[in-house]
Amino acid sequence: MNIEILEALLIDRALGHLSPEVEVLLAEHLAANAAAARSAAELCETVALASSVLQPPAPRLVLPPPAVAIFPPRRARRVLALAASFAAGAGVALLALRGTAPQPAPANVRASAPATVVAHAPSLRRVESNPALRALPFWSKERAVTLAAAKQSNR
Amino acid sequence: MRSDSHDIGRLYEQHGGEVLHYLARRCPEEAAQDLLQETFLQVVRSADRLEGVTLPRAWLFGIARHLLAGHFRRQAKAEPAGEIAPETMIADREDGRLPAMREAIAQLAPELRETLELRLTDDLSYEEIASVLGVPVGTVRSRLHNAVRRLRAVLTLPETKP
Repeated sequence: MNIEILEALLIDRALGHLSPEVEVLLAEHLAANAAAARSAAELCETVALASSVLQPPAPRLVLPPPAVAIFPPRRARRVLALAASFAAGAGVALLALRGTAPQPAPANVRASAPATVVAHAPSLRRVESNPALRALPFWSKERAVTLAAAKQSNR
Repeated sequence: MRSDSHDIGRLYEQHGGEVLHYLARRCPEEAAQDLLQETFLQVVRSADRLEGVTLPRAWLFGIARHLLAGHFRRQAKAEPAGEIAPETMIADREDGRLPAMREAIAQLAPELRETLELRLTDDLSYEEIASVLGVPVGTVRSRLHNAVRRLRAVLTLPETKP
């Protein structure tokens, strides 16, 4: 066998990329050829050492659970219904407050200008209106931060 | 839409862990988790392409790799892609040849090192690596062969220690 082809096959073998049929044929060749077998062992050793350098000690990583696991559908519906009724109640209360006349300020108290609140809720509406993102079943810290920031600036 | 969500959910279950490990080996875990979610956000955004994807794992790794590059660019203390983070280095006591191997890997050209990492650490096939890196399979094979030949040369050098 051509030595270059043999080496290429041995490297593929060390990297675990040979098809089973070729693997069998190569094993037969190695059994009959000590020099090739030595070379194969060296290559396997090289790859094993490289793997041990490249592979970190297995970290204990936990895949963030999909949102559906955190919020089972039935519970999510209940929570959403509760949130909707709260929002409706708050809206009605706000309208009622707006309808009442403001209390006159005492004569000795100087009226102060209302604090100016600059609200930047940049991406909330965009995020919420995108049906693909709304249907997203995954938890995202970035998304949560965006929503929280938008909510805070809306206050 | 439901079938898309279902497919994406299945992708997440099947490959989310591998993508998370890929990311966490290259950046802090918290950033890795954000990048993982960002990866799947991208998948949702391009859900219409899902049907045409033949190597879903490679597709996910490709997106994650792209996002990781963006993450490094944004970071002031950018760590070059494929760099071996100090915390990922294992103790040298097991094998005296490990320091030489580590040095040899660090001296590999970035494209050789990244290709080798995708094969040895992330266990991607040659075809998947080709898809992730956007190069032909033949290029992946020749990069891997070059890398292994160079590393083997380091190991077969005569001992220089006294």
